[in-house]
Amino acid sequence: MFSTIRLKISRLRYKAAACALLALLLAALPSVGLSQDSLTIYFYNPEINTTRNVVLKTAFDQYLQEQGIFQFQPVDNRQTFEALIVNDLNAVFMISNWHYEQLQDGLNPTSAALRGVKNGSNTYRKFLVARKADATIEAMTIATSGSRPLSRSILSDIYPNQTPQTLAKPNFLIVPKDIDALMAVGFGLADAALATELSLETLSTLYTNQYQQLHILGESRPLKRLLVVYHKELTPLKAKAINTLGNMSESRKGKQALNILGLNGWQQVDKKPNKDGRPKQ
Amino acid sequence: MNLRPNNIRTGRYHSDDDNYRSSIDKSNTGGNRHAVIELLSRILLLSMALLLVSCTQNLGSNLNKGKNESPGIKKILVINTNRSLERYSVSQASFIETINLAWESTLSINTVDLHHDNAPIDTLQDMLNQHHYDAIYCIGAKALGAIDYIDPETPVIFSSVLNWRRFINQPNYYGVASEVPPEAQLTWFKHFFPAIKKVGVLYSANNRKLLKDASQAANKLSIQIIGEEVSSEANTLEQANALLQKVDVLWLVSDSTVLSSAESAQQLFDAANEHKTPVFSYNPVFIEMGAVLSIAADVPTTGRQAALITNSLLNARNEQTSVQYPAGSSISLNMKKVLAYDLELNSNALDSVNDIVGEGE
Repeated sequence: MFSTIRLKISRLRYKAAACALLALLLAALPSVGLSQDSLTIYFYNPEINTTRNVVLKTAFDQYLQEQGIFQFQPVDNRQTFEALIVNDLNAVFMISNWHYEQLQDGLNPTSAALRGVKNGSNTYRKFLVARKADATIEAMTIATSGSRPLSRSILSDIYPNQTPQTLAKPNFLIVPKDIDALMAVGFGLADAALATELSLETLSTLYTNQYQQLHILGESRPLKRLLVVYHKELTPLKAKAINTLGNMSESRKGKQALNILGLNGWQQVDKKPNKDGRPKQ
Repeated sequence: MNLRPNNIRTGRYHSDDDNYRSSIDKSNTGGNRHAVIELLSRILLLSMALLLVSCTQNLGSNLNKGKNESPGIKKILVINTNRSLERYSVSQASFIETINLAWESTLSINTVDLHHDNAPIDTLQDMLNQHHYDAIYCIGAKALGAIDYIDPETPVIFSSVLNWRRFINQPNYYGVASEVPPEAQLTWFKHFFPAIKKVGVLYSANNRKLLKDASQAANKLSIQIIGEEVSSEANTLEQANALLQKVDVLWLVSDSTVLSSAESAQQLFDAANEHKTPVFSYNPVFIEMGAVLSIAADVPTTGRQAALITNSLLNARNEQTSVQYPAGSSISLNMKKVLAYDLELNSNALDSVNDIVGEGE
């Protein structure tokens, strides 16, 4: 009796599974057609803490869903992102300029289309600030909102004459935001902080007392802001996605997503070659 | 009562040995097999004896505070109250990643999860008996409570402990507090909502010092703190209604008299909503109840801070303060309430949010 019932159930399950599989295949057909009209914008930025990926995705998707079948996909780690750049020919990528320049040494099949802008500028500078004017970097704990490799790279830019061995000595305390890094110095939780000029300005406005206790030890050269890049074959869908990003500052939801990313808008990347024949970035 | 890790439990080895010997005796049934079994038993007994000698030597060497345990290798014990909780597992992962960067192959880390452990003190006592550790990192109150009862001579570093103030002056105890300093919270308030001037706080006698410190910090930020001391839960709502008429925002601080239950908290939020007064809080759980802004500690950062404190101690550097405030913040914003109250939000502050509620509405 028991085995008969089990047999009946298993046959029923088999039929149900077969029907479900057929339904899935049929349902997939239109989505295959749709997928040709959909596009993913992948995002990875070592300047932004990955704990903010969810809020970025929500904000960008809310804007993009109004514009077409686009989706925003932040990526947690560099290796995965670089694999996507190589393998996903039908995507658009948001990448930090620092990372993009590193890709130039290896395989980089992409071309830059847009660059981020904040308060009319497509560059920013990082400052190393400390509580003690005579602080030396070897013994420092430096609070920073960027990744360790990026922070070391910025330090080497601030101290071009220091050896890599010296620049490897400070400890980094990775914090979520620039203002966290600055306040960490103010509260004695770190010896120094790497922060943008804008964050320093913000602190000076918000909390003059704490700002006045900080000493600027050095500053980086102007660093270029975030890029939007694509594989060199520009399909109509990629062009539409890039155009949609370029127009973000024209809508309320677009502006909000830009603000969450720390930008006000995008500008077209100048593709005219420099005097040496290389494209301007 | 404090137990020092010197009560070595070696009985297990003897009892195992006794059981083994008695089983051998029972197998001696005479006849031709007797001699063979006798020979085998002697060989096995000899092996067992050698094994016991080896174990005892190892145990003895461990008792010498690890002097012979991989010289040059620092040993760390990570005790997690409940690794299945995300905030605790994230703290542990951040700690291990950061400390490994500093020490690489010259560090050995043992981890223990006390989640299903009903006798955590025994578990930890056994671990401390078997190995010497250069530092112990405790995540959560159960972990810290268990190790505090044993009172090891090793430095203890902790995070995610609500009653962290109890350990401020305890020798050899270091840690990261569970909430963002009031000064930093007020700075974030002003960054997001530059127009706020008067911040109301309901507090009990337990939080007088917090209010005093916050008031001093607020003055530097051009903010005025208007405090209302609550003597009992019964008067809280009445005092809240009086305070809400005088302030731009109500700032919730962690206070068991003011927030005695979920129901009393909800009543506070309802009263604030009637006055159209935004509520700022220290925990994202209040966003669901109607808070506009929440400034909480960033959990991965607390793990990294604990690792840097441990690193300093392993390098024999004295930590200036035994307990640090969290260096990182996790910010939640209720955009639905921002719009409902028509608040002046600094859009440039949005690049600091971790979570936005109701932005799509």
